[in-house]
Amino acid sequence: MIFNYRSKHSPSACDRAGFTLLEVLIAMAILVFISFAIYQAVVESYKLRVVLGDEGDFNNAIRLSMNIVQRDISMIYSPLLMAAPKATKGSGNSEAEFQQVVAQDPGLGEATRYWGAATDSTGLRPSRFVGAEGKMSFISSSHLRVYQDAPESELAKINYELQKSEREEDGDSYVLVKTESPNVYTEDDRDKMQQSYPLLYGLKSLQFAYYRKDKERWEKSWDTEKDEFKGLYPDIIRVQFEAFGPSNLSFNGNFEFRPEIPLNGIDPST
Amino acid sequence: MKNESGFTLLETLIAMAIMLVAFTAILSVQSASINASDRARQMNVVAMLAKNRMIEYEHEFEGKTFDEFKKKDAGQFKSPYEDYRWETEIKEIEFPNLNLSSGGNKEESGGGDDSASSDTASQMTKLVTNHLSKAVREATVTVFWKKGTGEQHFSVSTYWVDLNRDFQLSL
Repeated sequence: MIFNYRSKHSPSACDRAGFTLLEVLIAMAILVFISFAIYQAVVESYKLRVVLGDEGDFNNAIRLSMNIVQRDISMIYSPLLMAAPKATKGSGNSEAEFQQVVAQDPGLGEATRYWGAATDSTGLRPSRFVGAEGKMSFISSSHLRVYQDAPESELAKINYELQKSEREEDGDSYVLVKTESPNVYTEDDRDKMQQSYPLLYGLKSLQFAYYRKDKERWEKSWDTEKDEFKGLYPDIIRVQFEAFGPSNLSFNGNFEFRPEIPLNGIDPST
Repeated sequence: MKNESGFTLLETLIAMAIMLVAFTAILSVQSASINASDRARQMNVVAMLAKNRMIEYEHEFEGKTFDEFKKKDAGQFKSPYEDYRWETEIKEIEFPNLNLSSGGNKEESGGGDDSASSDTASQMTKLVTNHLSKAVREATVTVFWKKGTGEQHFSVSTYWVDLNRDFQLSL
């Protein structure tokens, strides 16, 4: 019985020959084919990972920069906007007072780069809003005072400007640069607290536009010191841009922002 | 002899099925990540459009009262976003019934003349609720876009307050 069992199941010399060369070759060919396919899949997914990472960074940069612009614009500062509507028109008396004040300090009657000329006898100046297609400057109360003892207020001179990119990899593109300084009452260009930093790289084009409610039209430029814009601030500010990024990414941006005008002196943010 | 003839058909089939499962798992992870990035890209544009529309909507509303303002509106976005359309709606909001005279509040208000004070309180609450429901509106902007055969949408809401509305002393 035992012998029989063995003879039946133990392989003979002929059976133990294994695969033929042809079989091994075919098996190897199939194996090579499959591993190549897997390799391809892995490489593709790595490439995809890079592309997705780039895309995330690209969109994130746009969102972050636009959030910064929004914050600054929504907090545009001007005593003209804060003031409650006057019950009576200014009498001749205060006008004379104003002339007297201006006579004492001739600088008050003149507009500077960030401030308009004083409008009443308190000498309080409205902030000046200057906007062009690739440029915008104003005073905003969006400044963050990081250190308690820092000689800074919440006000800051804000300046946005489209500049030619100096980074080599960008080639022929523009960058949106923000310049900010809490020294709101100095006009010195060597202001030490002034900080300039790039907000958004890879711009092919960018335009600011300013909506004027009473005329119901978009203006290409704005200056609160010009007669037609005296005491007026844009109702909507639009930023339109074409941005390009790595891995052939592109985005057509069209963002609109609104200054949050205080209601009769009540700041809506508080 | 039969035992040494190699894999049976069943074994091969099982092996292939396992491989198939593994491959579909890998592929589905890939396609899911492509879909997710597609959706993120879409939402980027949609959020921008909804925000812009909301700003314009607020702007249109400025200086008007609720009664003279359109309850519902719809339109198309301008080029290059003509595939997206918007709808706007202002709704009255329903306040929950803030009845102070029920339950434990009675004890808190304290005092002997319970019924009288709680009556006044509930009267006051009614007045305030009535005023608020008239002075506050919920404004919603919804952005629609086509995806495949269907349509998807995304909404943002805000609350508008009419500060000039007079407080009415009678219901």
